[in-house]
Amino acid sequence: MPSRADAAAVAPADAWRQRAEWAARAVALVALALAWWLTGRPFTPNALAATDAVAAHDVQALADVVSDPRRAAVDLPLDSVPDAASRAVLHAARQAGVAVVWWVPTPSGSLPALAISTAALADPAGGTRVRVTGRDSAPAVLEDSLGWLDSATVLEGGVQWPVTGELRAFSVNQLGTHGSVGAPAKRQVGRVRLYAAPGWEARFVMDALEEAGWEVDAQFGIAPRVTRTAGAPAALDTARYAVVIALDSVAWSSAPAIARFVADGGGLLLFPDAAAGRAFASLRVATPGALLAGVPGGLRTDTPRRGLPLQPLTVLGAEAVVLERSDRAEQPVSVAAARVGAGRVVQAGWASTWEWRMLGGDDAPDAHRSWWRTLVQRAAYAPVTDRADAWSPLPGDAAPLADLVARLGPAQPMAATATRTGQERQAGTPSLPAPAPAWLYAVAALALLGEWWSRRLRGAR
Amino acid sequence: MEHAVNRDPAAAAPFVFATAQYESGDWDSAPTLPANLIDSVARYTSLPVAPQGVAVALASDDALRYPLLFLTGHLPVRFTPAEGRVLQRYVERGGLLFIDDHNHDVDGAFHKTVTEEVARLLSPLKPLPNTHTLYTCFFEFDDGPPTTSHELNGWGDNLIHEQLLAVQRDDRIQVLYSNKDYSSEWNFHPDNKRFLGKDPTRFGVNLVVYALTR
Repeated sequence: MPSRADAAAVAPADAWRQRAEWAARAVALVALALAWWLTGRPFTPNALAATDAVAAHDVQALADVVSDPRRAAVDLPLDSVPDAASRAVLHAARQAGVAVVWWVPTPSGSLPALAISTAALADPAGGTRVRVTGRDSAPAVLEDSLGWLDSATVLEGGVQWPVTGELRAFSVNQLGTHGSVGAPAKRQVGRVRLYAAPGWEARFVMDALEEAGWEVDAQFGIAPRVTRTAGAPAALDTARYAVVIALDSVAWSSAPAIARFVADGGGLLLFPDAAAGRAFASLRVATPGALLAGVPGGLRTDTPRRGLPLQPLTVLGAEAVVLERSDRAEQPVSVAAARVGAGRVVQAGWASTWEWRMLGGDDAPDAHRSWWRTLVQRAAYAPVTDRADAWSPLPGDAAPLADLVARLGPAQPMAATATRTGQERQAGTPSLPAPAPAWLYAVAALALLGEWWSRRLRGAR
Repeated sequence: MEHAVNRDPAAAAPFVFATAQYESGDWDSAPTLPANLIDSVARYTSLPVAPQGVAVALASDDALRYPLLFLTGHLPVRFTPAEGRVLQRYVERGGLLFIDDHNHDVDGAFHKTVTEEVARLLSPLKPLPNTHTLYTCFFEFDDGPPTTSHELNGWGDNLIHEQLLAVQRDDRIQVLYSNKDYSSEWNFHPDNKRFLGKDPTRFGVNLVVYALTR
């Protein structure tokens, strides 16, 4: 056995070998320490930037990207809101731990905040009013499954379309962003009861509404004890009637029954000669002002109601909502509405609307009919009926941008996107465990193996 | 500056009897007819009615202001383009044109030409069923249009015309045509009405009521 003195007297070659063994130990320790340090620091993902905005709208491409186990993050430039299916894929990826961030590669840095709502029209022909809120001054296109229905420029943030016919769903496209919404449940409408003296005004109101699909009941006093009926007049009841039209003083004697009808939920259209009577004081939306003669030649202009006599609605009640203003001087209120009891009263200041139909331009009969139709829709009592087969669009499609933000968070600023580091990309996204580089472990293992091999060759343990 | 107009809201606009004035023919061949018809409307009904009728040029848009236009004559009728346009608008938009053949003669010039004009501008005239609302809307005429004392007076075609002719849309009469010569029957001196056993203008009241209510 070598003595301590022998051991101390080490040959020079062994001294170099021992130094190399210490160096191998040091390398192994450094490699292991580096691996430990790298494991502890936040992970820099292998971010994916979609090659172009179109890729963000390809559901299959997105699904392939986010399901790739090598992808820990998705970085999307979006020029429009992806459709519901794509949003669902991205949301699922985010829930599964993939970091998803999006940004808008345009100077505005934002996408149209589209929102769509629908309400069934109170109209015997059915139909839907589609209201859209979107980017101002930008065109919006209304579509159904067959194609375009209409288009309009969004002004003051909104646009609306009355759509006739039975459609199951509506889509709106603004600047490439699509939203869709299902048709609302249908409404059940009753008949119209007209109170008026015989004459062209009454006749043309009936004509206009019957052409629009309404059934109109009226009873005209022709002589003492002689009446002539149109339709089948019956007692006022919301089960039978949706709207009462009080055109003139003939309605005064029926005002108490009309008031009960409105209190029960019925609608009332009140015109100046009827509204002037004290009988309608409790139902008036506003006080009719002095009668203004129609503007000569006005019936043949683009605003034909200028040519009609008008009693402006001067003193509006607290609950009154202005529905229409005349384009005459000072823009007096010509139509206003208010809720009375469970019903609605729409009061108009126009008189002798038959002149519009007879003396107006080429489109006067259509325009007259459409105006009356809209007026009745606004007042009509029309309870919603259940519809078992109501179709629902994909969740969130009525407001696609809001849905995108709810699912993925807000857009990242474009400038930040261009310069941010991998760490910044992770802001607001779940932190992930970082894999340690395998070559560090290999270096440590090789260093330790070499150190062990060297010691064994020189006989040491 | 807009001027306010005074008007009683309880007062309905009165009915104004209008006679169509056309360029060809003799549109004013029954000058006392309007007064007699106005008298009957005022006498039998509570409808507000203007005491004087008006003659309105068929070529003028003013013709569109009257619910009922009365057109009569003896002579050939050819409407001018302007008259044709107004007539088409009047009828399409809801007016009622009543044409009476003052000759009561199906071979007469008035009948031949005016029926051609109606067919050219609107639609061919067809017999109006005697069960139509027109015959029951105020006075009851169970047998259809009342016969006139002029139909068999030796002039004209000497026929009793059982039915009136009409152009209709959706059961509403747009043009009503008569060969019964109501123009002569109703064109008596107003003072003589009291001597008539049965007022012959009662059917005219039905015309007015129909025009105002349907």
